[in-house]
Amino acid sequence: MSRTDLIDCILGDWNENPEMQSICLAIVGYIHSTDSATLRHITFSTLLRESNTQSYEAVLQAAGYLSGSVRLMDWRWEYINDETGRCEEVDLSTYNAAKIDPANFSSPFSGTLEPDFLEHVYPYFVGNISRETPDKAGESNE
Amino acid sequence: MSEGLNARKIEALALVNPCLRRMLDALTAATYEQFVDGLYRHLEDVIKFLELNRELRHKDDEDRLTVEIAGQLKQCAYQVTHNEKVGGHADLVVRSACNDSWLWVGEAKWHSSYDYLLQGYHQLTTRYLPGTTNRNKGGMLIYLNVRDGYAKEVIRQWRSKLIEEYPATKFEESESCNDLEFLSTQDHQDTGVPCTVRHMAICLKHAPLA
Repeated sequence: MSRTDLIDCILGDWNENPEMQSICLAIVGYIHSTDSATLRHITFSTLLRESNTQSYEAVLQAAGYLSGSVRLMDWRWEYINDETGRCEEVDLSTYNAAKIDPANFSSPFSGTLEPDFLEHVYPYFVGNISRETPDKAGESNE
Repeated sequence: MSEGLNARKIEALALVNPCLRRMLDALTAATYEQFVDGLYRHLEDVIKFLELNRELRHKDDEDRLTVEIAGQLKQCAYQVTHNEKVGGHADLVVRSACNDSWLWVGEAKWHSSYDYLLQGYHQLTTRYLPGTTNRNKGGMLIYLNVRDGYAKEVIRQWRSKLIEEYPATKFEESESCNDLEFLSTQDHQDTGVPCTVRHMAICLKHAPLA
């Protein structure tokens, strides 16, 4: 999707919500003006700063829309060791299982059980500006 | 670090923000079944919203109503198209952010006759739904107006019509135990893979006595 198409899409999808239009457009501006190395790991705090708002919920919703509906970004999760800052990707099966039983998961670094695994899991985003519209007719394997 | 906004805090925010909850469901589906279950929970919310404002919707055409549904799904992180060509022009095509290959297709019809609904069901199950793994679930969105009588009766008769036309089809109640919904499953004519369709009435009757 071209940047122009993306902006048209945002303006149409959020035509009754100027705040969400503004946040989405700010994130689009950031993604399109940022180098590809940085786009491989965008934190939520970066999106919050670029959106110029303090509303976590509004930025989460904008990030969800831009990740899910228009595919400008991929939304991912990572385990962060609070002491060392080391990160490890968390897949969706683990995330969902940890929602049900958060005390049954270990730190990927120390191997010790965490009292609440989700306390150490954070969202991050991967910018996707060169991504084409997904194949609409073809099949793909998982 | 994300300024303290970890998954635990996001999940807590989602407990009091239904739209955020639906969005997280859409973005954290680990399987096709989770994707479809999350989509149905969101569709239930959208249907309630439409029904709550039925005095504004009861004269809308199929496309306008369906575009409204598509718009609400898009706001909660589903990739949605209206009239996309997937074996024909499908009313609603929904893909998952978690896996591009996961597909759900919806066919939307104002109820004018059971034959008209049957035409839509036939298009959905034989043309639009690919009937391959993780592309084998869809929905019939049935808009009902005042001339149709009790919505519950329309759904009962629609189910009878399907039993008559497709004797091999299996039927079950939806998990929500809603009288205005049911599930049908039949093997896809090309792939043999079971395809499940959720039939959902959207009651837009508006005939105030005063």
